[in-house]
Amino acid sequence: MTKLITRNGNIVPPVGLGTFPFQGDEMCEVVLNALKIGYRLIDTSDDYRGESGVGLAVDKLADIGLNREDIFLLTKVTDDDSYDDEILTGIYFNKNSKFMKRHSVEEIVREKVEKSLYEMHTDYIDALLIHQPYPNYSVEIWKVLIELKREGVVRYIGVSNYQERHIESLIKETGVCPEINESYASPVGIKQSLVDYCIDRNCQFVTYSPLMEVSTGKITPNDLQPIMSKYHKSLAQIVIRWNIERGCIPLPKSKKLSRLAENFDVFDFQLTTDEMKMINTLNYDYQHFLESLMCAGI
Amino acid sequence: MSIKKKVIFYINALIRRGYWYNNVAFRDCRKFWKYNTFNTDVMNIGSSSSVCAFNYDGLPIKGVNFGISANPQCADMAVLKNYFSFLNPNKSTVIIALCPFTALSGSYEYLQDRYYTILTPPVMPVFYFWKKQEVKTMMRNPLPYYPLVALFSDLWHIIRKSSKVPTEDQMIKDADIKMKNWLFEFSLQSLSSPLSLVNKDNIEDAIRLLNETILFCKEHNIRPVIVIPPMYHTLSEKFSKQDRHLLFDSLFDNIEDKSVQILNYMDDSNFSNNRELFKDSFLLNEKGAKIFTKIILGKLDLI
Repeated sequence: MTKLITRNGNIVPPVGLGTFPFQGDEMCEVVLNALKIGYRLIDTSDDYRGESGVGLAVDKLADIGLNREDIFLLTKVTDDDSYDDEILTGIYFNKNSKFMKRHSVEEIVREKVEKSLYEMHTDYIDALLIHQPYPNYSVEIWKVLIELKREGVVRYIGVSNYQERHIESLIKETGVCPEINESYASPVGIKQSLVDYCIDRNCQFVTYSPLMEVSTGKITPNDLQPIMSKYHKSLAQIVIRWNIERGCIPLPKSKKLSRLAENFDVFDFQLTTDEMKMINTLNYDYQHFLESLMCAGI
Repeated sequence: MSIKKKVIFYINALIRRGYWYNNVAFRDCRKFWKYNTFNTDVMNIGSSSSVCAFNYDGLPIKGVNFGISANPQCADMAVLKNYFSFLNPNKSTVIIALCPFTALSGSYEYLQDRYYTILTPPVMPVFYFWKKQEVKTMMRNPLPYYPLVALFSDLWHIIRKSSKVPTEDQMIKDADIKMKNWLFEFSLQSLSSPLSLVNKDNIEDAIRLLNETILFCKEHNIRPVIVIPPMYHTLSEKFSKQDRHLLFDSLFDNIEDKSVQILNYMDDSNFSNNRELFKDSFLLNEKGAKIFTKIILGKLDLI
C-alpha cells in the first residue's frame, strides 16, 4: 500500500479530517484544532464551500508551529461549484449543457484548480480527486489531472466514488492508475472487493463518513461491546481502527475538540484477525447513497 | 412556531396528501422520493401502461414500478440512468414496457416540471436551474400554488369509495376516445395514411433510444426485457396488422441486440375479454396488474 507523504517527507497519519459542511471561520477553527492534535490530512472539495475556510487555516499555520509542507490538503473536481441550490448546477460535465459546448474539459478543470489554489491560499494541492465517475467526461478529466501532476501543481491524483470498472476504464485509456480512491465504506457495507482491488494496485482507499452508521445507529455499542471493553475504547474508535487495519484512511468529521481528539486516539491498540472478522460479520452490503442519483449513468 | 406558521404547516401537509398533489402536480413522483431498497431484482420503466400493468406487492421478489404516466421515451432512459443503482449488481432485470404509440414519441423531449423532483440535471434534455428551484419550492410548500378548483377533486377522491368495473359500452367509448386522442397527439389522420417526415423522425429517434436503453442495460449487467402489456379487446381490435407493423415491428426489427426477449401480451385472451381486470380499455386495474406481474415474472423465471 502506498503511504501518503507530506511535501516535507513525513508519512501522513492514517486518520484524516472530513470537513463537510464546515465553512469560513468555523472551518478554520476545526482545521487548526485538528492539526494541533496531530491530523495532517484535510479533506475538502470545490463544492463544499469550505476551501476558503481551509485557506484561513493555512494562513495561521505558523501560529501552531506548522507550515504548509507539514500538512496534506486533499480536494476534488466536481460537476458543480456548490450544493444543489446554486445556479451552476448542471453546468459542468453535462453533455446537455451549452457551457460544455463552449469550453474544453481541460479549460474547466484548470479553472477549477486555479480557484481551489486561490481559495486555499496555496500554490500546490497535495491530492486532487475526481469527485464522481462522470460519464462521458471521466477519462478527459483524468488526462488533465495527469498533466497537472506532471506540472507539479498536484502531488497525488485520484478519484472518489469510483468502482472497479470505472478505475479500469481510466487505466485502459491512459495507463495511469489513481493513487487514491475516496469512497464510502463501513462495517455494515464493507466493499471488500473494491478495497482489495485498490490495495492490489497501490491505490490508497480513503473512507469518507466512516462514523455515519455509528451516529445513525446502524452500528451500536452492543454490536462491538467485547472489543470496546477489551481495549477501553469507544465504538467510534473501534470503527476508525477497523478502517486502518484494513488499509484504509478514514476521514471522521467533528467540530468538537474532544471528539477530534478521541477520533485520533486510535494508535495505541491493534485489532486481532478474529476481531476484524467479527466486525466484518456486521456487513450486509449497506449503501448510504444511491450512486446513480449522485452521478447519473455511472 | 407562530399560529399562522402552524396553520400553513398543516395546510401544506394536507395538500401533500391530496389527489391534486400526488396525481396532478407530482403525478407518480412520490414513489421515487420514497423508494430506498437496494439490490432490487426487477424494475419496470415506461409510460402509463407500465404504471398500471405492474404491481409487485406480495410477490417473493424485490420489484419496483418506476413507470411514469405520460412519459416520453427519453425519460425512460433518464429514470434508468438515475435509479439503476437500486438494482442488484449481480442479477437484475429491467422491464421496458411499451405503449402502442411509443414508436412515434421518440423525439418528444419535453419533460414536465414534476421531473425536476426526480431527475438530476445531466439526464434532462433541457435543464433550467430556476425552474428547478420553483418546482422544488412548490414541492415543499404547495399552498401558494394550490388551485382552489383542485379542492373539489381532492374532496371527491376522499369520499369516493371504490371504482366500479367498466361496462362493455364504456369500454367501446373509451377505446374510441383513446384512439382519437392518440391520433391527434401524433398528428395523424389515420394510421393507414402515409407518415409525415416528423413521424418518420420520431420513429428513428425511438429506435435509437430503445437501442441505447438496451445497450445501457447490457453494459451494467442488467437483463432488458421488452413487454407490451394487455389491452381490452375494444382497443386492441383497433390496431390492424398493418398498424401493428408500423407501431411495433418498426421498433423490434431494428433492435440491434437480437437476444432481447420481447413479450407481447396485447391480445392475451386471459385479459382482453375480462373487464374486471381493467380500469379502462387501455390500463389494467390493481387486480389485473397483480395477475399480469405474476405471469411476466414467471415467464422470466424470476419467481
